[in-house]
Amino acid sequence: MAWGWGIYEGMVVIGSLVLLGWAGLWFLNRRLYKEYEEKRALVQIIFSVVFAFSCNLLQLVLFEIIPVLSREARLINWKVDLFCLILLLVFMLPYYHCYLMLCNSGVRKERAGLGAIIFLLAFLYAFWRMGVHFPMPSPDKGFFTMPQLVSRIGVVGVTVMAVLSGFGAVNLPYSYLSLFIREIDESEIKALERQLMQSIETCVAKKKKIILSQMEMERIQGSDENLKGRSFFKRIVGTVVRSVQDDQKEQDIKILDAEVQALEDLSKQLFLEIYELRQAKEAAAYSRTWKGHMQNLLGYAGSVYCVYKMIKSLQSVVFKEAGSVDPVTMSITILLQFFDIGIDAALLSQYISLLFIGILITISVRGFLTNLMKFFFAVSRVGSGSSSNVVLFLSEIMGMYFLSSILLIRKSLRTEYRLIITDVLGGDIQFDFYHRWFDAIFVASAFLSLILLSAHYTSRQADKHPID
Amino acid sequence: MFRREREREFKEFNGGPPCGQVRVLVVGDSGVGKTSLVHLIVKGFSTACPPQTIGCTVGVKHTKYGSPGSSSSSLKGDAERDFFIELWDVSGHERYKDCRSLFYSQINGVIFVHDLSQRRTKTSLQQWASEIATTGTFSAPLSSGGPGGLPVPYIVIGNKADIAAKEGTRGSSGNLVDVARQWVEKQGLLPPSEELPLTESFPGSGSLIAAAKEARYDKEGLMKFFLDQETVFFR
Repeated sequence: MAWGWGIYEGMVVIGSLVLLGWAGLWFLNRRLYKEYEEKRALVQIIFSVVFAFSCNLLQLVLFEIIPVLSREARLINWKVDLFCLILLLVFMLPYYHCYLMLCNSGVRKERAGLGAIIFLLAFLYAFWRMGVHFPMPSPDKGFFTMPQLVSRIGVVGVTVMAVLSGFGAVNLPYSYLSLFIREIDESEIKALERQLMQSIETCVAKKKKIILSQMEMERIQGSDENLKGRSFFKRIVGTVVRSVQDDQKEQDIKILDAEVQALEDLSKQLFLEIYELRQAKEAAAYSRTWKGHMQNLLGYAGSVYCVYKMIKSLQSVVFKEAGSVDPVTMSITILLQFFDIGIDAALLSQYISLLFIGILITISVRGFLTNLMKFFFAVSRVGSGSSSNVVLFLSEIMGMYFLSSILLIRKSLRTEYRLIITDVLGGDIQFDFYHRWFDAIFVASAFLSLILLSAHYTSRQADKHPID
Repeated sequence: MFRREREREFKEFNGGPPCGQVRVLVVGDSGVGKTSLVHLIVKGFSTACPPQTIGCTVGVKHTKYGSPGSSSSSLKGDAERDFFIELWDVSGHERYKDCRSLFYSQINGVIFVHDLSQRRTKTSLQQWASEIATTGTFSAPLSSGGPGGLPVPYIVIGNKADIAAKEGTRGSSGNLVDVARQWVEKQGLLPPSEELPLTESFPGSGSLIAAAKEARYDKEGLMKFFLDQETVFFR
């Protein structure tokens, strides 16, 4: 009986891992790689494995609330998952990333392997030293034990989370609110398009002129050979006249070349402007539909929430509060105060916890993946850098992000669900520190994005109404 | 003495018949090598790592029509005419899709480019064909419509044959999801994606198809293809 149960549990675990891995692969190849295709299967596999392990951690949190597997199975699952994830993040990924970079720049394989090992050792040392500045478990508890590594990973991950949340909290109302959407006239776009076509046609005409001049020069040089029979004096005079004309023609060609280059740059600029105007026009049209109005309302709600969150974070950073009552219990106690319904509070709290945590996890995963896409496209627009490097870097960030979200999500769980996280990660980790660190970085990031976005908005307004 | 020579040259330069022009679009997905192809045709040598095309860049090639050895001689009058072939290299990026349609004006022909080492780029040519057919204007359209209703002649060029050969399996990529999809299609569970039909419908294009099968760049064949299309326009 225990055997069958064990096999069943093992299959559930492995099945969910495989499913998550496939989802990660699908996301990578269908969403991220719209333009490029990754040739190395190993990079794709690494990304999907990190994705699978990270999402499995979040899945395990859900399994805590609705007990799907037995307690021992969950504990083993936690431990194995954490172990594999940390192994990947701290040891394997930096090594492989450096190895790939060295291989791409043409270094031989053995030397690349050696260089990558040296880089890995340096990385581990820097990783260890970083812990000096933050409250970490003391070194007599061992060097590379799980709590040590998790606490350091947590710092990086929490920083990334806070920066993204800060920016997202400000950006969401900015992009959703209809206040900031500007109206574009179709005639504006048409005028720019006409200008673009004109500059391209002029460019083409100039290129034709260059070709004709070059052909002319070649013809003249060709006919030079036919002049061997003429008199000495005529030949000298001929060469003087021809070299003057040649110089003149070369000058003309050079000037035309420069003009062509300038026209091509101009047409690039015009095209980018047309693209931006079309984007703005689409956004304006969308804001007039009912979906757009909903988005507007969401924007207002988002801005209220953002302000509230900023104040709360500032408060927690300045006053060093350590609130340990999770929001679910708080909301249930408030509810029960007002409505005496008589429903079993424990059952209710379990379902509400599930819903709340589920929504939190979904939003966080989806938000992270969207940001990943935006970052990837922004980097690819610059054009430089191979996509493998970006994907490996993003896998590292993703692993650290999801691991730290476990650290932070612990606060939103009820006390009985928190136990396993505290057990698995090691009781030495100062969880409160991470919350304060998150709040501090969140406030800083939100302020910075506020400044950035307002500068962006005012510069666009100035463009639209140029000061004569 | 000098003046007379200069005058003679001036007359020879400007006294010839005006040059005709042929406008050919070069389209395909991002990164397949359209800019490199245009560079190769225009300059005669290849360039390494051109920057990503934004908008449209035009390459111009000069050629003479009516040279001896041409397959058709239905052009009345002068023996030789100068032609400028304009190759409009349009950006293949997904996000510029709505802005591209202004480049599709007065088209005489289309070159579809795909990447032999990435199979997805070949299947998307069908969408390119319908995009051009719906939003473009054509000068001297043929009566019979091609794929997606495209009324002008077109050729399909497969690029990066050396990379595809190195990978071993022609037409597949390292993309694991695509590999899985191809396996499923082979088992018959999913319908195969549509591809652009390739026919030898234009006279004199046999050498091009032979060159394509052997994966070499047949410059003479390409030039002949362009020039043969001009007989269609001036009939």
